Amino acid sequence: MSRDLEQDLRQALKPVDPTPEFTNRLLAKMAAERRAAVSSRRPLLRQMAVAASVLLALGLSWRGYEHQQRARALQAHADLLRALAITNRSLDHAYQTVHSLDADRVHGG
Amino acid sequence: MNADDPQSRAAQWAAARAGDAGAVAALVREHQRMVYSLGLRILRNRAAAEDLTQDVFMQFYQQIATLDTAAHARHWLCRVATHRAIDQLRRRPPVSTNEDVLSLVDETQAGDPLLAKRLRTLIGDLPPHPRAIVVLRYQEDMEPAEIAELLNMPLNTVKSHLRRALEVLRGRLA
Repeated sequence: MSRDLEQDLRQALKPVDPTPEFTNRLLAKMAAERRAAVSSRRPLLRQMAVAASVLLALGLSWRGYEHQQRARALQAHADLLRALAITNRSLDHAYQTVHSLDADRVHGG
Repeated sequence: MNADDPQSRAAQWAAARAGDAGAVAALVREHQRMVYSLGLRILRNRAAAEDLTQDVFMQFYQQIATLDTAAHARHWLCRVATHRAIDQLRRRPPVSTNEDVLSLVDETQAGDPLLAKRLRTLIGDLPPHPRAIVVLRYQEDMEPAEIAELLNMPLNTVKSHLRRALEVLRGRLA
């Protein structure tokens, strides 16, 4: 019969170790989990590299497109200036023609 | 590495969090006795205790980065092991076999092995919460306030469970 129940409970409930075989199995399972985690991270890295490449390609394409647009704008600007110069010359020529006709009519008439 | 040196422990903990296999294995070896014994005493079934120990350590391994210190890790393991054991006991109590009952007798320990076996059997007949409280109190030497915090229970509830459990054990031993 128990004289000191609490002391007896401490004796009865002393912690015990699992078997070494169990510990080895547990550690092997944890190692397998770690390997699985590492290998599952690899495809993720590959996907991230592909995504980065796509983003880089998109960025470069955008820059090329912008450059092309700017060149076209400059070309359009130059064309417009040339057209204006031609128009200016044509108007000058027409003006001088009309002016000389008027002068002939005044002096001739 | 000296496990008692705070610096060594901190270094070991940091290595385990970084995924070092040796450091993780050292942590398992340090705490498996506590986790396995909680499972064994609460569930009274060796296979169920092994399954619980494995599940707790796998969860621990997955969540190790969220734990701050080695002391926090021990507290976490104790909490998760106890809650899992109580949950399992409520959901589907494992059946104790003769082998399990015999395995609970440790002939190397001091005292009366037959009395120890009888006490473990009587503790196993207690309802889940009083059983867990008695195991935490006398296996892990935890104070009622610590048990209350671990089980998310009012302190007075823990004390009354403990008092009643001791009365039951005394009465059945008489």
